[in-house]
Amino acid sequence: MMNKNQDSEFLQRVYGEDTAEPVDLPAGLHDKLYRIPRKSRQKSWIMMGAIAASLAFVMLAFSLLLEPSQQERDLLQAEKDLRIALQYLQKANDKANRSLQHTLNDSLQSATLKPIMHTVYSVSSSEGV
Amino acid sequence: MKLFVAKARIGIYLFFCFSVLFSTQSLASPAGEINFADLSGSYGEAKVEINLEKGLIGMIGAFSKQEDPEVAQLLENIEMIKVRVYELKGNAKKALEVVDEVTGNIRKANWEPLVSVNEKGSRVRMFSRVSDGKMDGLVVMVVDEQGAGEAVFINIVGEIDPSQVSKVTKSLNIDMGPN
Repeated sequence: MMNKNQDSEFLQRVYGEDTAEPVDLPAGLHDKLYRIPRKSRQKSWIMMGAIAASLAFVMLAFSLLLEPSQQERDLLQAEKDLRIALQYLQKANDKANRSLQHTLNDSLQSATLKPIMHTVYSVSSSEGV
Repeated sequence: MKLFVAKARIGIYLFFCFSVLFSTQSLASPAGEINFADLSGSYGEAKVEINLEKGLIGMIGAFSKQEDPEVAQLLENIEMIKVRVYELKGNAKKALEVVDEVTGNIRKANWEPLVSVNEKGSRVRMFSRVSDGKMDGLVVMVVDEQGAGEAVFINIVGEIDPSQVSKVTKSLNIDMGPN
């Protein structure tokens, strides 16, 4: 059991204020009164812990939501790969198309234009003679 | 005792079935798959190396169904996409050898030549494989000796309409860059 001086020191430490003159109390009430600040301090620690835990949980949830999962990363990479694959496929297609066009043009020229030109030339030269 | 023997027999039977199933799954390669020779010994690591399996292709198709139905349709029947691109560093000999080797092999396996271009400094080969009236494989090989040179090897397993590719590249806004 504490004496009156210790009581006022205790109250000053807990509440940080000058307190009223201590009075003699029954032992049971005295103990109960002493338990009040301890309990409130314990409660405040529990509250602080709960808030910190909730904050940590919220932050973790946000980071999990914002950060793409492994599956999403794989999918993004696959999409990128697909684009590249199609790009090269299209390039090959274009090359083949250009070559086909050249070949067709050349063939058409030699198959149709040259005989026509030849005929025109021979007709004009025979008329000239 | 009899019960134990019966259980053991069932266990052995199940183990055998699972082991056969898993071994065939891991060893089986899809029809239409072509293994291009590794050219990293001649040209260093491939500039582009892509291996897309059915699962991922299906996922891309499923995700693009609403935004890009054409892409989804193109990918619907594709099982695998394999791309290898090498920088030739001025020497196309090895790449041309691989083109000739693959051409010889797939011709023997009844692949149909779609396009064959032999121009100065450029060689293009396109083959398709048709099974039961359906196209189930496409091989594209391009060796371009212009500049430093580039060799491109593409193998697509599954049904693909080459005419759809240009539509899809346009809808995906793919930058074709200089040819």
